[in-house]
Amino acid sequence: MSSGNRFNGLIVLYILIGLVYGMGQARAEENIDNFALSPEQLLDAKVMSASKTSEKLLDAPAAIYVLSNEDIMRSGATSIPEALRIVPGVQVTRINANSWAISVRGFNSTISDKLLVLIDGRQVYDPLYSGVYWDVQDTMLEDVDRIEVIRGPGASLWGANAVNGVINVITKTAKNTQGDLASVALGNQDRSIVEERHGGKLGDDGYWRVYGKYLQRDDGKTPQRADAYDGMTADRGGFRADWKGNDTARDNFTVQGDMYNNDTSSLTNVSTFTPPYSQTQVQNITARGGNLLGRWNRTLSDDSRVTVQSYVDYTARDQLSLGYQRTTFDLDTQYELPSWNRHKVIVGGEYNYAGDQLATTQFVTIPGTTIDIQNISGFIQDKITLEPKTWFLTLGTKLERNDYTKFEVEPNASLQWHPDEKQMVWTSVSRAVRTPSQIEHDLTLTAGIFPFGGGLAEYQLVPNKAFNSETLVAYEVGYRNQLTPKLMLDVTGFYNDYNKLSAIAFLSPNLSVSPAIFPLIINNDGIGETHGIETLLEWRAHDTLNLSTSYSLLDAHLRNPAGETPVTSQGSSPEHQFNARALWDITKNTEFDTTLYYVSSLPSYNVDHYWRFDVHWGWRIINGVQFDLVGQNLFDGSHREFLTPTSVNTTEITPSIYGKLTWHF
Amino acid sequence: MAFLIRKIFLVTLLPLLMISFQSSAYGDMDISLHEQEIKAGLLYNFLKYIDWPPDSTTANSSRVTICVFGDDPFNEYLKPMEGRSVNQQGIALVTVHTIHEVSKCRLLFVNSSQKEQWPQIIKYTTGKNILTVSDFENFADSGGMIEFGRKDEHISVYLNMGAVTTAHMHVQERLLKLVTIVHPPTEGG
Repeated sequence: MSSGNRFNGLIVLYILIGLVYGMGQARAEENIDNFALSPEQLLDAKVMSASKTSEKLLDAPAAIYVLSNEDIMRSGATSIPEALRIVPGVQVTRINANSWAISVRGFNSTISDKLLVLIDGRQVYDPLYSGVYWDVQDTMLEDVDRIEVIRGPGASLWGANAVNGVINVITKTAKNTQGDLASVALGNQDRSIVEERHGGKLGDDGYWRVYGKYLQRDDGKTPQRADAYDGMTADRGGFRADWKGNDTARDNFTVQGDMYNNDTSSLTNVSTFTPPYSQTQVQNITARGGNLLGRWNRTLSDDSRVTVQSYVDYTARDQLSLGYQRTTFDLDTQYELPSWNRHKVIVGGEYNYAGDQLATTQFVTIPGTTIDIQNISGFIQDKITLEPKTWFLTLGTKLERNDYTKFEVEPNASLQWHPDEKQMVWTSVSRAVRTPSQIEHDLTLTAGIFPFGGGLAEYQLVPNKAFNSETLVAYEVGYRNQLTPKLMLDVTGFYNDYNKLSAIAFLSPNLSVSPAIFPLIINNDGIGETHGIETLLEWRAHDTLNLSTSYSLLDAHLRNPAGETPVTSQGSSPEHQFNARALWDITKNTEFDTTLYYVSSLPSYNVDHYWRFDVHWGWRIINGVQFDLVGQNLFDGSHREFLTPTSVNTTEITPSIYGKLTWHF
Repeated sequence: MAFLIRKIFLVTLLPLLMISFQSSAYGDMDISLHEQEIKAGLLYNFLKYIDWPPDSTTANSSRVTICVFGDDPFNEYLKPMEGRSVNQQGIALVTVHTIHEVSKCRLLFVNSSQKEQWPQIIKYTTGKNILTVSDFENFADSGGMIEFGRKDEHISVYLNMGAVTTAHMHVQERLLKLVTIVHPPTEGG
């Protein structure tokens, strides 16, 4: 494994350079006496990265990881999905320049349906197939405050689809994005990304911002070295305003919205009724959308508050085999009751409506022209103090009613023990469900055409009105230890027991029609278990050097009756994932960051294991002007991350380099 | 491949070469510190640039007592303040966990983990010459005197002028120029 040796050599080199400079820096650092500095100097000082371990992280009985704004900026990622690569236990696979498959704890697929993704509380998964179109989930990364990732079921709080995990993207408040920011990035793959944001004050106690972003990404190459036609151009814009109520400081209001326009393309196989029955074509994909969200938060007493949030979201997507428009309306309330004895109770309710207008194409038949789906849910959670500061028991459940499967109950129980302030042991049992998608329940799709007995036949996916929710019972155990103020360890183990997993079955063919129909149906015949371990070690080795490493192991055993195929096979997610990251402040004005990733093979897709190495160098030229140079996926040449070489939309992932200039003014 | 490696090395080593140029040219222009280090430094500066009324209960004691309500969130960064002096008075650091302990404090920093205690604390500190400081959001809006915020990569300071004035404290011009003044609506209206 020659690439491995090269990496070893490089790592040694970096460590050596790090030590030499680290020692020089150490002396300089120790000379700074924060009590001898003037208030001007202190307020002008740049805040260094601290250990990421927030109290919140240490307190939650769940596998939570928080990706801070600094993590995102220093990772060099130019999109939300790419930034998620750092998160322990999250599998990010890039299919091509504009699409990704992302999952947590297995079941990775282009339609990863067991993951709930939220942006500022707005659900962005697509009820057509319960997955996420990552190409349109974007904003100015500078304005992302943090991304919270929960591995494991978050169902008792978040509800359906929060089966294997929740990804919650949270943008900064308008107060924290005052002034102007403009940036230009130019590179070999990210050809150009231009951003501009302006923030201002709104009366005495309010703030607002607007932003705009344009990006253009280049075409990649297919595994056969041909043009992959997967480029992308997109423009987006949005605003956010936060203000406080007039009569009382207890009210906080937020109104925000975004609009986007995406033009992408990809290669796709199109079925035809004439030979050769399947043709590779370039399909243009246009996606447009917008959303408007309002939130009101009132503090009722010192430990009690109520939040009401509502949004509308419009999304339209046109591609060769599929076209739809969807309007979503959501109303969400949450009430945190005052502590009562040993109980801390939170209750909430949510109503969600999605109205889809689908275009009937040659390959998709829908019942009627619209599909309306409503979902009503409520949850209650009680955190019970068994022994102050030491033992806590959290009991919660979500009850929801959806149009497909009617009532679903998603309970959770977790127990946490804090032997001392630095340590926490937790365990939890939860049930979660993944409710049916329109593809499984409503649509008729042509899946392929082939010559048959002198005529033609077609594979047809037929709707299954009896399709039920996939269910999970998850058992988790975790341990966190802030060993020293500079060293943090987080270990989680899980055992997931799945039932009613989706599988594809053949029904008896109908040969009396022309073309003959070989019907396929998605049923609930699959079962299986996954188990694994996720570890994270963060070490602030020096004031100028943060190191972290994570490793996750996943073992999946999925089964279905003979003759049926699982929708997502066990070999679609890597057994081992590893990353090691070094964030190094070389001087007050320069930072140098490197991340090494290892992902083991995907037997289902014939994808080999691969190493990935990313480098970011940042230089603050003068106050308010920063230059960043980023190299991603260096040293590897090229590799596929997902799907078989014959999947025509797959591209080779090759080195990417870009430079970026950012002004704050 | 060899070409690529060479290219990559240039990309990664170039920055390292820039460092020497960097540190000499801009070495002492900017400071970067840990968040808690900056905040601890600012607390010390508050003692210097805010005048307490001469008749305040804590003005004439030989020591200035700085209190942290709840656990000390400053890691090791606040401790060195003990033993320093301000206006010829030595500084003492105490962590307090009950409201009754705060009467001796000239400056009270409320750990954000104690946010839920704040409505009780403020009832007690109102009318006393205790400078209240914290870093949880809306602290200044809910009657606190100084709130630490964060603006991009810098710490910012929000000053509740009304609360400070009511407590007969005076903020010197030099500090005043650096902070953002907030006017929270009057409570209990």
